[in-house]
Amino acid sequence: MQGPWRGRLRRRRSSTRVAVGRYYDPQTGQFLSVDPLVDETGEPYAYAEDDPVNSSDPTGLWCIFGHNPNGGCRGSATVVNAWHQTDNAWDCLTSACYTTKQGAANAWAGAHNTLNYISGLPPVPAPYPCSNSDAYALGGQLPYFAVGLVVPGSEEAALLEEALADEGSSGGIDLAAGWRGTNMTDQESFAYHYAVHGDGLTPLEYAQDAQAWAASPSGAGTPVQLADGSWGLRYRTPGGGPGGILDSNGSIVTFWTH
Amino acid sequence: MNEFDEAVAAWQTLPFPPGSASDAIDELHADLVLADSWVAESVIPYIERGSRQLSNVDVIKRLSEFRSRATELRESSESQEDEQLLDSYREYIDSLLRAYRAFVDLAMPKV
Repeated sequence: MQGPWRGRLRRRRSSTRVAVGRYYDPQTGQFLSVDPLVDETGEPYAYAEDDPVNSSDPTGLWCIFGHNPNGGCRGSATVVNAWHQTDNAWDCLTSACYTTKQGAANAWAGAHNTLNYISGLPPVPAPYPCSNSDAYALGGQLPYFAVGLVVPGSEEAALLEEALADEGSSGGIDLAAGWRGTNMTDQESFAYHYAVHGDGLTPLEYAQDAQAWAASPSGAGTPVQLADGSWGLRYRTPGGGPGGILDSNGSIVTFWTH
Repeated sequence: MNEFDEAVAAWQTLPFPPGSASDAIDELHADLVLADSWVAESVIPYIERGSRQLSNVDVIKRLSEFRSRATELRESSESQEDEQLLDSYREYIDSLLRAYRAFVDLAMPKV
C-alpha cells in the first residue's frame, strides 16, 4: 500500500527518515548507480547540484548494498523500502528485506564503511564477516558506498550514526529469531513489538532479553487467543515487570519489559 | 487524511502505557498488550501489503470488555496515580478500537 505510512512503523523511536545518497566513486567523482527513485526525482544521476562533497541529499537514497560490476545498485529498491518502513538500518540485515547472507554481509560492511568514513576511520577491510559475500567475490573490490554524500557533523550524519548504532549492535544476527507473527511476518512482528515495547533498548538488547525470557518464562501461563485464532500462553510478572506471550510452540508473539 | 489514516496515526503516536504494581491493573495491562497484537496483526500487514486479514478474535467485543474493566478499576481506584494510569489504558483502548474499526470499514467494505 502506498501512502503516508511508509516510514512510520517505527514511530515511537524516531520519526525522522535517514536518507542519504547512492554509490559514489570518489576517484572519478561520479555516481555508480541510477537513483532508484528516478520516477519521482526525474534525475537519474544528478545529486545536490553536482556537489556531493559539500552538499547533502535529504531526499535521496542510501544504497547500502554492494554494487554490481556494471555499477548498478544492488538491492536498492529493497533497501529503500526497508528504510521507508522502519527508519532504521538494522532491518536491512534481516531476511525481511534481503534474504542472503551475502546481502547481510555487504550491508554490514556498507553501513560500517559509511560510518567509518563519517568518523574519519579507515574502511572495514575485506573479507567481510560472510567470507563468500558477493562483494568479495567481485575480486575483492570494496563497494563504493555513500562516501561524500553525508557531510560530517550534519544532521544526516548524526541520524545515520544513530541508525547504524542500532544496526551495528546486531552484529548481523537475525533479531527476529524465535519470533512469530501470525499475519505479520516474523520480522515485522519483531520490529513492531520492539517499536512499541523496546524503549531504551537497542534492537539487539530487546531481542536478547526476549529470547532469554522466552527460554524460561516465570510463573504460570494464562491461555490467550492469538490473532489467528490459535492459542498461546501469556506470562506476566505480578506487580509489574517483564512479560510476554508465547505461541503453542514457544515462539515469541510479544515481549514487554515493564 | 481519511479516517483510517487518522485512526492509525492516532494509535501509532500514542505511547504504550506501562504496567502497574497493582496486580489487577497489571493484569489489564497484559491484556492490553495482547489486544495491541491483535490489531497490529491486521492493520500493519494491510498498510504494508494491502493484506485484508481480519483477526480471528472478536477484537471489538474484547476491547470493549477491557475498557469496561478499566473503568471499573478506575472507579475503585484509591490513588491518583492509578487513575491516571487507567485513563491512559482507556485512551489506548479507544485508539485500538478506532484503528481496528477503520481497518474493517476500509478493508472489508460492506456489499
